[in-house]
Amino acid sequence: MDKNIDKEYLLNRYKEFGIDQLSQEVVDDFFSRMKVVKKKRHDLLLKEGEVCENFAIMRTGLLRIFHYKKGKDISDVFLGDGSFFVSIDSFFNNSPSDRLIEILEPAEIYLISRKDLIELCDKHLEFDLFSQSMIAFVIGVLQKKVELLQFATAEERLEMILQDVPDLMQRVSSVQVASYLGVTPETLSRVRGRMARRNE
Amino acid sequence: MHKLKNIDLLLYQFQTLGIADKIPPEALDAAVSLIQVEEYNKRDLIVKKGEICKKWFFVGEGIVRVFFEKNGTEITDLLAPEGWAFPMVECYYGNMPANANVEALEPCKILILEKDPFLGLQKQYPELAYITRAILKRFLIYNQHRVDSLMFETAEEKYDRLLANIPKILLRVPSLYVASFLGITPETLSRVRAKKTKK
Repeated sequence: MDKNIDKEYLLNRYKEFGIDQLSQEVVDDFFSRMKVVKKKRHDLLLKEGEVCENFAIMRTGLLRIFHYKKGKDISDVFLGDGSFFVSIDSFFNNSPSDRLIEILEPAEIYLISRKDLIELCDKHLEFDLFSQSMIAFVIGVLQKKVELLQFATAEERLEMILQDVPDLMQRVSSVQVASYLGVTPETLSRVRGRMARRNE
Repeated sequence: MHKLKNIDLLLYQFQTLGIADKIPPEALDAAVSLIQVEEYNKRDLIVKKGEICKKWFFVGEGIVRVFFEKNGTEITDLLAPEGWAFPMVECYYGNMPANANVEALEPCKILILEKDPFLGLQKQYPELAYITRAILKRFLIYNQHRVDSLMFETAEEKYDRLLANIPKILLRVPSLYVASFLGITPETLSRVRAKKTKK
Protein backbone atom coordinates (compact mmCIF):
# COMPACT_ATOMS: atom_id res chain seq x y z
CA MET A 1 0.00 0.00 0.00
CA ASP A 2 1.22 3.46 -0.85
CA LYS A 3 2.41 5.18 2.29
CA ASN A 4 1.99 8.62 0.80
CA ILE A 5 -1.77 8.55 0.99
CA ASP A 6 -3.17 10.61 3.83
CA LYS A 7 -5.72 8.06 4.99
CA GLU A 8 -6.70 9.91 8.14
CA TYR A 9 -7.58 12.94 6.06
CA LEU A 10 -9.73 10.96 3.62
CA LEU A 11 -11.56 9.09 6.38
CA ASN A 12 -12.42 12.40 7.97
CA ARG A 13 -13.13 14.36 4.78
CA TYR A 14 -15.57 11.80 3.33
CA LYS A 15 -17.50 10.98 6.48
CA GLU A 16 -20.65 12.50 5.03
CA PHE A 17 -20.64 9.79 2.36
CA GLY A 18 -20.21 7.05 4.95
CA ILE A 19 -16.53 6.23 4.40
CA ASP A 20 -16.21 5.71 8.16
CA GLN A 21 -18.90 3.01 7.95
CA LEU A 22 -16.83 0.88 5.57
CA SER A 23 -15.12 -2.19 6.98
CA GLN A 24 -11.34 -2.14 7.36
CA GLU A 25 -10.97 -4.67 4.55
CA VAL A 26 -12.88 -2.47 2.10
CA VAL A 27 -11.08 0.71 3.12
CA ASP A 28 -7.71 -1.01 2.68
CA ASP A 29 -8.75 -2.33 -0.73
CA PHE A 30 -9.84 1.20 -1.74
CA PHE A 31 -6.66 2.94 -0.55
CA SER A 32 -4.34 0.26 -1.93
CA ARG A 33 -5.59 0.96 -5.46
CA MET A 34 -4.84 4.70 -5.27
CA LYS A 35 -1.92 6.35 -7.00
CA VAL A 36 -0.41 9.65 -5.90
CA VAL A 37 0.55 12.23 -8.51
CA LYS A 38 2.02 15.69 -8.08
CA LYS A 39 1.20 18.40 -10.59
CA LYS A 40 2.52 21.88 -11.30
CA ARG A 41 0.65 25.07 -12.09
CA HIS A 42 -0.72 25.04 -15.67
CA ASP A 43 -0.35 21.25 -16.02
CA LEU A 44 -3.31 19.65 -17.76
CA LEU A 45 -4.57 16.63 -15.87
CA LEU A 46 -6.97 15.89 -18.73
CA LYS A 47 -6.77 17.15 -22.31
CA GLU A 48 -9.61 17.72 -24.76
CA GLY A 49 -10.43 14.50 -26.62
CA GLU A 50 -8.76 12.25 -24.04
CA VAL A 51 -10.89 9.69 -22.24
CA CYS A 52 -11.13 10.40 -18.52
CA GLU A 53 -9.93 7.09 -17.06
CA ASN A 54 -9.51 8.10 -13.43
CA PHE A 55 -11.58 9.20 -10.52
CA ALA A 56 -9.51 11.82 -8.74
CA ILE A 57 -9.29 13.27 -5.27
CA MET A 58 -7.34 16.47 -4.68
CA ARG A 59 -5.51 16.32 -1.36
CA THR A 60 -4.12 19.85 -1.74
CA GLY A 61 -4.11 22.44 -4.50
CA LEU A 62 -6.51 24.24 -6.78
CA LEU A 63 -7.77 23.35 -10.23
CA ARG A 64 -10.48 24.19 -12.67
CA ILE A 65 -12.51 22.12 -15.10
CA PHE A 66 -13.22 24.05 -18.29
CA HIS A 67 -14.13 23.66 -21.94
CA TYR A 68 -14.15 25.59 -25.19
CA LYS A 69 -17.48 26.87 -26.46
CA LYS A 70 -17.17 28.32 -29.96
CA GLY A 71 -13.49 28.93 -29.27
CA LYS A 72 -14.15 30.66 -25.97
CA ASP A 73 -12.67 29.34 -22.73
CA ILE A 74 -15.49 28.60 -20.26
CA SER A 75 -14.79 27.53 -16.67
CA ASP A 76 -17.19 24.92 -15.31
CA VAL A 77 -15.99 24.71 -11.76
CA PHE A 78 -13.12 25.57 -9.43
CA LEU A 79 -12.10 22.93 -6.91
CA GLY A 80 -9.88 23.14 -3.83
CA ASP A 81 -8.49 20.83 -1.12
CA GLY A 82 -10.40 17.63 -0.57
CA SER A 83 -12.53 17.86 -3.74
CA PHE A 84 -13.18 14.82 -5.87
CA PHE A 85 -13.81 15.02 -9.59
CA VAL A 86 -14.05 13.38 -13.00
CA SER A 87 -15.02 14.64 -16.43
CA ILE A 88 -18.56 13.35 -15.99
CA ASP A 89 -19.63 12.39 -19.52
CA SER A 90 -16.25 11.03 -20.45
CA PHE A 91 -15.69 9.00 -17.29
CA PHE A 92 -19.10 7.36 -17.20
CA ASN A 93 -19.58 6.87 -20.95
CA ASN A 94 -15.95 6.00 -21.67
CA SER A 95 -15.92 8.66 -24.39
CA PRO A 96 -13.53 11.46 -25.42
CA SER A 97 -13.78 14.39 -23.02
CA ASP A 98 -14.97 17.83 -24.10
CA ARG A 99 -13.77 19.04 -20.70
CA LEU A 100 -10.17 19.87 -19.77
CA ILE A 101 -8.75 19.84 -16.26
CA GLU A 102 -6.10 22.46 -15.51
CA ILE A 103 -4.01 22.77 -12.39
CA LEU A 104 -4.05 26.36 -11.05
CA GLU A 105 -1.87 25.83 -7.99
CA PRO A 106 0.61 23.01 -7.25
CA ALA A 107 -1.49 19.97 -6.44
CA GLU A 108 -1.21 16.57 -4.85
CA ILE A 109 -3.81 14.27 -6.35
CA TYR A 110 -4.90 10.70 -5.64
CA LEU A 111 -6.07 8.74 -8.67
CA ILE A 112 -8.06 5.55 -8.93
CA SER A 113 -8.94 3.99 -12.28
CA ARG A 114 -12.46 3.39 -13.56
CA LYS A 115 -11.69 -0.33 -13.78
CA ASP A 116 -10.60 -0.44 -10.12
CA LEU A 117 -13.68 1.49 -9.02
CA ILE A 118 -16.02 -0.86 -10.86
CA GLU A 119 -14.19 -3.82 -9.34
CA LEU A 120 -14.55 -2.32 -5.87
CA CYS A 121 -18.27 -1.72 -6.40
CA ASP A 122 -18.82 -5.24 -7.70
CA LYS A 123 -16.75 -6.83 -4.95
CA HIS A 124 -18.11 -4.91 -1.97
CA LEU A 125 -21.76 -3.90 -1.72
CA GLU A 126 -20.88 -1.36 0.97
CA PHE A 127 -18.42 0.32 -1.36
CA ASP A 128 -21.07 0.53 -4.04
CA LEU A 129 -23.37 2.39 -1.64
CA PHE A 130 -20.52 4.74 -0.71
CA SER A 131 -19.89 5.45 -4.41
CA GLN A 132 -23.59 6.11 -4.98
CA SER A 133 -23.57 8.65 -2.14
CA MET A 134 -20.72 10.45 -3.86
CA ILE A 135 -22.56 10.49 -7.20
CA ALA A 136 -25.67 11.73 -5.41
CA PHE A 137 -23.62 14.55 -3.87
CA VAL A 138 -22.50 15.68 -7.33
CA ILE A 139 -26.10 15.55 -8.57
CA GLY A 140 -26.98 17.82 -5.64
CA VAL A 141 -24.23 20.26 -6.63
CA LEU A 142 -25.44 20.30 -10.24
CA GLN A 143 -29.04 20.81 -9.13
CA LYS A 144 -28.02 23.80 -7.04
CA LYS A 145 -26.28 25.20 -10.07
CA VAL A 146 -29.40 24.61 -12.20
CA GLU A 147 -31.43 26.50 -9.64
CA LEU A 148 -29.05 29.43 -9.80
CA LEU A 149 -28.89 29.42 -13.57
CA GLN A 150 -32.66 29.48 -13.92
CA PHE A 151 -33.10 32.81 -12.19
CA ALA A 152 -30.12 33.95 -10.16
CA THR A 153 -28.39 37.25 -10.72
CA ALA A 154 -24.66 37.40 -11.38
CA GLU A 155 -24.25 38.50 -7.77
CA GLU A 156 -26.04 35.43 -6.39
CA ARG A 157 -23.92 33.19 -8.61
CA LEU A 158 -20.72 34.78 -7.39
CA GLU A 159 -21.79 34.38 -3.77
CA MET A 160 -22.41 30.70 -4.43
CA ILE A 161 -18.94 29.99 -5.77
CA LEU A 162 -17.33 32.01 -3.00
CA GLN A 163 -18.98 29.66 -0.53
CA ASP A 164 -16.99 26.80 -2.09
CA VAL A 165 -13.64 28.58 -2.44
CA PRO A 166 -13.84 31.82 -0.38
CA ASP A 167 -10.57 33.35 -1.59
CA LEU A 168 -11.14 32.39 -5.22
CA MET A 169 -10.89 35.96 -6.53
CA GLN A 170 -7.40 36.26 -5.11
CA ARG A 171 -6.32 32.94 -6.58
CA VAL A 172 -7.57 32.90 -10.18
CA SER A 173 -7.99 35.43 -12.98
CA SER A 174 -11.21 37.42 -13.13
CA VAL A 175 -11.67 36.40 -16.78
CA GLN A 176 -11.95 32.78 -15.67
CA VAL A 177 -14.41 33.62 -12.92
CA ALA A 178 -16.51 35.72 -15.34
CA SER A 179 -16.76 32.82 -17.79
CA TYR A 180 -17.86 30.58 -14.96
CA LEU A 181 -20.64 33.00 -14.06
CA GLY A 182 -21.63 33.43 -17.69
CA VAL A 183 -21.05 37.20 -17.54
CA THR A 184 -18.55 39.60 -19.10
CA PRO A 185 -15.48 40.61 -17.05
CA GLU A 186 -16.96 44.16 -16.92
CA THR A 187 -20.18 42.93 -15.33
CA LEU A 188 -18.16 40.89 -12.85
CA SER A 189 -16.20 43.94 -11.82
CA ARG A 190 -19.42 45.95 -11.33
CA VAL A 191 -20.87 43.12 -9.22
CA ARG A 192 -17.72 42.96 -7.09
CA GLY A 193 -17.82 46.72 -6.61
CA ARG A 194 -21.41 46.53 -5.40
CA MET A 195 -20.62 43.66 -3.04
CA ALA A 196 -17.60 45.47 -1.63
CA ARG A 197 -19.59 48.66 -0.99
CA ARG A 198 -22.31 46.69 0.75
CA ASN A 199 -19.79 44.95 2.99
CA GLU A 200 -18.12 48.18 4.07
CA MET B 1 -52.12 0.61 -3.15
CA HIS B 2 -51.41 -2.64 -4.98
CA LYS B 3 -48.45 -4.68 -6.03
CA LEU B 4 -46.99 -4.28 -9.46
CA LYS B 5 -48.48 -6.61 -12.05
CA ASN B 6 -47.08 -5.43 -15.31
CA ILE B 7 -43.33 -5.04 -15.05
CA ASP B 8 -42.67 -4.64 -18.77
CA LEU B 9 -41.95 -0.95 -18.50
CA LEU B 10 -39.47 -1.51 -15.72
CA LEU B 11 -37.75 -4.36 -17.52
CA TYR B 12 -37.54 -2.24 -20.65
CA GLN B 13 -35.83 0.43 -18.53
CA PHE B 14 -33.30 -2.07 -17.27
CA GLN B 15 -32.58 -3.16 -20.82
CA THR B 16 -31.94 0.39 -22.00
CA LEU B 17 -29.61 0.83 -19.04
CA GLY B 18 -27.74 -2.33 -20.03
CA ILE B 19 -28.22 -3.96 -16.65
CA ALA B 20 -30.93 -6.52 -17.47
CA ASP B 21 -28.40 -9.29 -18.14
CA LYS B 22 -26.40 -8.59 -15.00
CA ILE B 23 -29.23 -9.32 -12.60
CA PRO B 24 -30.30 -12.92 -12.01
CA PRO B 25 -34.05 -13.48 -12.59
CA GLU B 26 -34.73 -14.45 -8.98
CA ALA B 27 -33.10 -11.22 -7.75
CA LEU B 28 -35.18 -9.21 -10.18
CA ASP B 29 -38.36 -10.97 -9.07
CA ALA B 30 -37.55 -10.19 -5.47
CA ALA B 31 -36.93 -6.51 -6.28
CA VAL B 32 -40.12 -6.23 -8.30
CA SER B 33 -42.09 -7.68 -5.39
CA LEU B 34 -40.91 -4.72 -3.29
CA ILE B 35 -42.22 -2.15 -5.74
CA GLN B 36 -45.49 -0.48 -4.83
CA VAL B 37 -47.70 1.19 -7.41
CA GLU B 38 -49.47 4.35 -6.32
CA GLU B 39 -52.11 6.14 -8.35
CA TYR B 40 -52.47 9.91 -8.24
CA ASN B 41 -54.97 12.37 -9.65
CA LYS B 42 -54.00 15.46 -11.54
CA ARG B 43 -52.60 18.10 -9.08
CA ASP B 44 -51.99 15.59 -6.27
CA LEU B 45 -48.78 16.10 -4.34
CA ILE B 46 -46.66 12.96 -4.45
CA VAL B 47 -43.95 14.40 -2.20
CA LYS B 48 -44.24 17.46 -0.02
CA LYS B 49 -41.22 19.63 0.68
CA GLY B 50 -39.83 18.88 4.15
CA GLU B 51 -40.91 15.24 4.11
CA ILE B 52 -38.32 12.55 4.59
CA CYS B 53 -38.80 10.34 1.61
CA LYS B 54 -36.18 7.70 1.04
CA LYS B 55 -37.58 6.34 -2.19
CA TRP B 56 -36.90 5.92 -5.84
CA PHE B 57 -39.74 6.94 -8.15
CA PHE B 58 -40.38 5.39 -11.56
CA VAL B 59 -43.03 7.18 -13.57
CA GLY B 60 -45.21 4.40 -15.02
CA GLU B 61 -47.92 6.61 -16.52
CA GLY B 62 -48.47 10.35 -16.65
CA ILE B 63 -46.05 13.19 -16.05
CA VAL B 64 -44.80 14.80 -12.84
CA ARG B 65 -43.02 18.00 -12.02
CA VAL B 66 -40.56 18.68 -9.23
CA PHE B 67 -40.79 22.27 -8.01
CA PHE B 68 -40.00 24.59 -5.13
CA GLU B 69 -40.77 28.16 -4.19
CA LYS B 70 -38.32 31.01 -4.35
CA ASN B 71 -39.25 34.57 -3.45
CA GLY B 72 -42.93 33.74 -3.86
CA THR B 73 -42.48 32.20 -7.32
CA GLU B 74 -42.74 28.51 -8.12
CA ILE B 75 -39.67 27.19 -9.91
CA THR B 76 -39.90 23.99 -11.94
CA ASP B 77 -36.85 21.85 -11.43
CA LEU B 78 -37.68 18.66 -13.28
CA LEU B 79 -40.37 17.45 -15.69
CA ALA B 80 -40.50 13.65 -15.74
CA PRO B 81 -42.84 11.74 -18.06
CA GLU B 82 -43.50 7.98 -18.21
CA GLY B 83 -40.31 5.94 -18.35
CA TRP B 84 -38.29 8.32 -16.19
CA ALA B 85 -36.82 7.42 -12.83
CA PHE B 86 -35.47 9.68 -10.12
CA PRO B 87 -34.77 9.66 -6.38
CA MET B 88 -35.19 12.56 -4.00
CA VAL B 89 -31.41 12.62 -3.84
CA GLU B 90 -31.10 14.63 -0.65
CA CYS B 91 -33.42 12.20 1.21
CA TYR B 92 -32.29 8.89 -0.21
CA TYR B 93 -28.58 9.58 -0.05
CA GLY B 94 -28.28 12.50 2.33
CA ASN B 95 -30.90 11.64 4.99
CA MET B 96 -32.26 15.18 4.67
CA PRO B 97 -35.84 16.37 4.23
CA ALA B 98 -37.04 16.83 0.64
CA ASN B 99 -36.03 20.24 -0.70
CA ALA B 100 -38.79 20.29 -3.33
CA ASN B 101 -42.36 19.14 -4.01
CA VAL B 102 -43.36 16.51 -6.52
CA GLU B 103 -46.74 17.00 -8.18
CA ALA B 104 -48.78 14.91 -10.64
CA LEU B 105 -49.62 17.01 -13.72
CA GLU B 106 -51.80 14.24 -15.15
CA PRO B 107 -53.39 11.16 -13.63
CA CYS B 108 -50.26 9.16 -12.77
CA LYS B 109 -49.16 5.68 -11.88
CA ILE B 110 -45.94 5.86 -9.94
CA LEU B 111 -43.76 2.87 -9.11
CA ILE B 112 -42.11 3.33 -5.76
CA LEU B 113 -39.05 1.55 -4.39
CA GLU B 114 -38.28 2.21 -0.73
CA LYS B 115 -34.71 2.41 0.44
CA ASP B 116 -34.58 0.26 3.56
CA PRO B 117 -36.28 -2.88 2.23
CA PHE B 118 -34.29 -2.52 -0.98
CA LEU B 119 -30.99 -2.32 0.89
CA GLY B 120 -32.06 -5.33 2.95
CA LEU B 121 -32.66 -7.27 -0.23
CA GLN B 122 -29.27 -6.24 -1.60
CA LYS B 123 -27.59 -8.17 1.21
CA GLN B 124 -29.10 -11.28 -0.34
CA TYR B 125 -28.70 -10.17 -3.97
CA PRO B 126 -25.80 -7.71 -4.26
CA GLU B 127 -26.35 -7.47 -8.03
CA LEU B 128 -29.40 -5.32 -7.36
CA ALA B 129 -27.05 -2.43 -6.66
CA TYR B 130 -26.63 -2.23 -10.46
CA ILE B 131 -30.13 -0.82 -10.68
CA THR B 132 -29.66 2.28 -8.59
CA ARG B 133 -26.04 2.74 -9.67
CA ALA B 134 -27.03 2.74 -13.36
CA ILE B 135 -30.01 5.07 -12.95
CA LEU B 136 -28.06 7.39 -10.70
CA LYS B 137 -25.28 7.59 -13.29
CA ARG B 138 -27.82 8.43 -15.99
CA PHE B 139 -29.40 11.06 -13.75
CA LEU B 140 -25.97 12.58 -13.08
CA ILE B 141 -25.26 12.91 -16.79
CA TYR B 142 -28.73 14.34 -17.36
CA ASN B 143 -28.04 17.02 -14.74
CA GLN B 144 -24.67 17.86 -16.27
CA HIS B 145 -26.35 18.36 -19.66
CA ARG B 146 -29.04 20.46 -18.03
CA VAL B 147 -26.42 22.79 -16.52
CA ASP B 148 -24.72 23.07 -19.92
CA SER B 149 -28.03 23.80 -21.60
CA LEU B 150 -28.98 26.53 -19.13
CA MET B 151 -25.57 28.15 -19.33
CA PHE B 152 -24.94 28.17 -23.02
CA GLU B 153 -27.99 27.50 -25.10
CA THR B 154 -30.38 30.03 -26.60
CA ALA B 155 -34.05 29.88 -25.61
CA GLU B 156 -34.80 28.11 -28.88
CA GLU B 157 -32.09 25.49 -28.38
CA LYS B 158 -33.28 24.83 -24.83
CA TYR B 159 -36.83 24.38 -26.03
CA ASP B 160 -35.72 22.01 -28.83
CA ARG B 161 -33.73 19.96 -26.35
CA LEU B 162 -36.77 19.66 -24.10
CA LEU B 163 -38.98 18.63 -27.05
CA ALA B 164 -36.47 15.95 -27.98
CA ASN B 165 -36.77 14.57 -24.43
CA ILE B 166 -40.52 15.03 -24.05
CA PRO B 167 -42.35 15.44 -27.37
CA LYS B 168 -45.56 17.54 -27.34
CA ILE B 169 -44.78 18.75 -23.87
CA LEU B 170 -46.96 21.84 -24.16
CA LEU B 171 -50.04 19.70 -24.69
CA ARG B 172 -49.38 18.15 -21.29
CA VAL B 173 -47.73 20.83 -19.17
CA PRO B 174 -48.82 24.47 -18.62
CA SER B 175 -46.52 26.82 -20.51
CA LEU B 176 -45.75 28.67 -17.29
CA TYR B 177 -44.04 25.56 -15.90
CA VAL B 178 -42.23 24.90 -19.14
CA ALA B 179 -40.87 28.46 -19.22
CA SER B 180 -39.75 28.16 -15.62
CA PHE B 181 -38.05 24.85 -16.33
CA LEU B 182 -36.13 26.45 -19.21
CA GLY B 183 -35.20 29.51 -17.16
CA ILE B 184 -36.92 31.88 -19.61
CA THR B 185 -39.98 34.13 -19.31
CA PRO B 186 -43.37 32.93 -20.60
CA GLU B 187 -43.19 35.75 -23.20
CA THR B 188 -39.91 34.45 -24.57
CA LEU B 189 -41.34 30.94 -24.71
CA SER B 190 -44.33 32.11 -26.74
CA ARG B 191 -42.01 34.04 -29.10
CA VAL B 192 -39.91 30.90 -29.61
CA ARG B 193 -43.04 28.87 -30.35
CA ALA B 194 -44.40 31.43 -32.79
CA LYS B 195 -41.10 31.46 -34.65
CA LYS B 196 -41.11 27.67 -34.90
CA THR B 197 -44.68 27.61 -36.22
CA LYS B 198 -43.75 30.10 -38.95
CA LYS B 199 -40.87 27.88 -40.09
